[in-house]
Amino acid sequence: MRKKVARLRNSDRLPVQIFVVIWVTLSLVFSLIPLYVTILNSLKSHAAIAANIFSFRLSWAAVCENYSVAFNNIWRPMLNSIFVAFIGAFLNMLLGAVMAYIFSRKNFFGREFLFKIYIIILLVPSIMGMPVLMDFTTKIGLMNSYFAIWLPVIGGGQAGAMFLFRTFFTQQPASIFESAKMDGANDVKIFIYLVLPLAFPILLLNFVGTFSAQYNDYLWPGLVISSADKRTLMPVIQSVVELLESMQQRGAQYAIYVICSVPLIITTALSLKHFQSGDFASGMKL
Amino acid sequence: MENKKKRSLIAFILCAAFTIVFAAAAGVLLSLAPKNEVLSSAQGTTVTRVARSYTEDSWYYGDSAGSLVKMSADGDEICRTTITEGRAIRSVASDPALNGLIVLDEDYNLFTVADSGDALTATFVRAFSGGYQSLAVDDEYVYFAVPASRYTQFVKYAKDDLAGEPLARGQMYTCFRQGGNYQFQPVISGTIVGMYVDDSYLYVVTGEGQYHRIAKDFSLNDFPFLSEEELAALGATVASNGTVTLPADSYDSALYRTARKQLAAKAAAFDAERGRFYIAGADGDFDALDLSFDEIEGFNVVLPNTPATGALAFHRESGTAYVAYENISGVTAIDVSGDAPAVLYQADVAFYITNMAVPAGGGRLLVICSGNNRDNPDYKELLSADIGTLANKGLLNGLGIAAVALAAVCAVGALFTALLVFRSGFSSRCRVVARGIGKNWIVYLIIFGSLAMLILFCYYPGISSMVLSFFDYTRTNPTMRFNNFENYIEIFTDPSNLIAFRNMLIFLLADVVIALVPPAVFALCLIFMRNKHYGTFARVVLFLPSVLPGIATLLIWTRGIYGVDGVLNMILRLFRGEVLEPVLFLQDHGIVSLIMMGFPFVGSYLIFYGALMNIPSSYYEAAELDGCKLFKRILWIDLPMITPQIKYVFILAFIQSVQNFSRVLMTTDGQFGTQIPIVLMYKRLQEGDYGLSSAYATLMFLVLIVVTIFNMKIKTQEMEAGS
Repeated sequence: MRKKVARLRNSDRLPVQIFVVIWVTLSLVFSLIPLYVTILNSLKSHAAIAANIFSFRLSWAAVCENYSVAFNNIWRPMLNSIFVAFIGAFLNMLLGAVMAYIFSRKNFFGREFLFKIYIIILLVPSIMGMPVLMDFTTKIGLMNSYFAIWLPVIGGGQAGAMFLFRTFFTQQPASIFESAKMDGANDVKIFIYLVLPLAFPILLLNFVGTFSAQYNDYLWPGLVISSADKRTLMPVIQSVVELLESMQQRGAQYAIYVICSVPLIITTALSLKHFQSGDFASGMKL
Repeated sequence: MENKKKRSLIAFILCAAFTIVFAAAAGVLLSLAPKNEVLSSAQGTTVTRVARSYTEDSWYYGDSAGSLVKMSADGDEICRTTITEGRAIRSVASDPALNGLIVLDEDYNLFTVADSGDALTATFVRAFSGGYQSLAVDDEYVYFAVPASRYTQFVKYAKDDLAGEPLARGQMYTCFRQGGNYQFQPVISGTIVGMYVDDSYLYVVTGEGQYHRIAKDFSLNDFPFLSEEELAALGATVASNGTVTLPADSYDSALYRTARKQLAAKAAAFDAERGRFYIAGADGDFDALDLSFDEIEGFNVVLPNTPATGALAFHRESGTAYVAYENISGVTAIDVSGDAPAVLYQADVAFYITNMAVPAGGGRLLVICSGNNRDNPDYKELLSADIGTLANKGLLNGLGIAAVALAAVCAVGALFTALLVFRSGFSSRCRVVARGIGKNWIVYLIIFGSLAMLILFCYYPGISSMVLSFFDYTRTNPTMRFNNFENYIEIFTDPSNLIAFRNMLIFLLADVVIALVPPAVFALCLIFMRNKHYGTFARVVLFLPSVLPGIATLLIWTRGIYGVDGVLNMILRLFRGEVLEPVLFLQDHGIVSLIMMGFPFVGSYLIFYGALMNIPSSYYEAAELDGCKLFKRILWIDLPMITPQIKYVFILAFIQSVQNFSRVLMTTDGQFGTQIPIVLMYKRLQEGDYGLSSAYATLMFLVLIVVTIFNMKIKTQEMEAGS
């Protein structure tokens, strides 16, 4: 009987391990500096930040002031952003799932051709159509309405979502669909009770991705939304920060960065389980 | 079978015949539709004002070179005179009570112009040094509204002695009752939309929704010009801010009346004959007011858009009002001669009309509208539209388009029937397909909806942007006009644009390297790490920075890290002492600083990590048995195994780099030599120059198409592997 020996690999040698640990540690430290600076300075007063950005002169009064000033300045656009991003991401996910179901489980005339139409658009960069899209939005009277954000997002985003979901749906065993059909379930029932629950992780992932992309979007909302009570967060944030700089409120600027991260903290936490393992990345057919 | 074929043949012949008929009809109808005639344009000058004559069927226009031109009803020049050489004409006033014209040049010099039929002679009268707002004329006097310090004042001159001393002065007040007194508050001067005079009063319509009726001798408007005794006689007290208080019994509402209304006038006209005002309001209402500014019952028309400032022409002979709009190219003709208005028609004339006139004969509508001239955004041209055909224009165009559509339908029908007749087996194939569509109609319905969105919001904008890049097309003048590649010439002849494209390539190179090398090294480090707990810890911690929104991260880097009091300057000070001048990273080292944002570029290491994890360990074992060194193992096993991921990340980084506009827009705004094409495109878009920004988009697309083709190959492989 051969004894199992833990063999020392090439990569396990000491110099390699030292290099690896140092590299990873430095990367971690440098990556965290912006976040660290943000959180630290959101707890300090303007004078303390101006004197030394690294100092630990925290004060409770400064915290209260920073966060209340920050909150008062951005709560409205932030709520708008969350609303817009949520609806956009949800509709996109739903439509993508329906289309993916149709293209993966239904047989109909022209399927391959139609599928190609959806895939080709994934290759065209989104800036390409922006000038005409803006003109078109003006002409159909959607300027300064959230539909001007939602419709292009869903129109283009459904293709990406559909492509992602379809890969997933085709991997589901066909036998469960057949048995469901034998039991008299129609397509709507199969879709709601079988497909959606099985695909929940990938749906969530797409939802989270679209949500944060929408939440972070600056270019398009900045072009189409003009009235103050409808503006979304990202186009507003720079002018608010400049205003606070002129008001000598540097702490509040950092507080804004912290507050506007809250929705993304939630979405990241939701998706962390799936992203972190790396399984998802390798599972994508590349 | 033969029978069926015969029927198909008949159908084919019918369809083909109808196609020809409808196509011909469309051609005839569309060529019959009246076109506008450009009367004066280009030649270096811009048309500024147009005015009709009240004595004959001729009209006048003034231009930016200072010429005043008299035109015949048919649009032929009769004569011209120069008011002030090289100074644009600001205003041309013509009035039935006036023998000639009153013309104001750019520097507020006032001229009277006498018209002797075939010659114009201009005489300088006076200069309004403080500016000028409006005027009104009656049989004996001319009334001017001029801004005086912050307020609007009125001056009255005898008509034949305009150069002389003013006969009276007044000021504009809002008047309201407070307790037993009347308060007169001076009106801060704003826009005066119209000023009219009849036998008893002077009327002023402002753009702020205020309407004033003033006694012609300016009593109750002349407080600033009265002596102490006169004020005391009225019982008036004047506060330091100019507010005048008058006891109620000495106020005579016949002398001065103000009305404040919801209806804020954009354009106004006065109908002296019927004694009413026509107001085109800012919220798209057309109303008539009586002489005491009360709305006339039942005299309301809802306009299709916001009227353009000053663009309301009233043709008194026929009692027709013409209204033009800010955003649409239409002109609405409203018959106001009766007790109730009647919209005659809505016709497409021109975009952004700033001034309109209808000469006495009523045969043509003269408009000044924005023209096609990229070098001069203020350029305006004069169009003449034939009123007789305007009413039919919409109908002719509509019929023409309907005929085109019918011709297209018939052509499709003809093609289909032709296939039925001449291709064997086609009919049975059609039947199979039709049955399939019938069975899956819900599927097709859903796909139709989703495809409609895809085409409307992705395909259509993408393709027509490319087309649009060869045309002049702006928000203010949305008529497509081919301009001989001028958009591209403009981009490539401007050195700052060339720098932008150079920067784009620098960023592209740097971004691709940054997206590939550091993440791959980091992923390998994680794979090699023996302490798996630390590896897991690192992966979790690396998620933390990604919760900051991208824009916030950029601002943190700009202000917190590169800033004067930022992290980097702080560290430099630690090493080199306090005396050091702060380094202005973004200003002095723009591109490098922007590239280094996001250091240490861990990026998409997870994709590499996941792929590396899935490499079977037997590969490594075999390699080590063969005595393969670590470096060689990376080169010959790890890298080849993650090639698909490298391709994927490369494509993504390439596409994102070209489209990454916030990196520059939020930090340097394109200054300090960091301009990139997409920011230029964004700025042109904001200005509404769709043609030029399409040219930028197309150029960027040409750069991206390299990687797009690469991407397409991979995607097709995927699809083949998937299906």
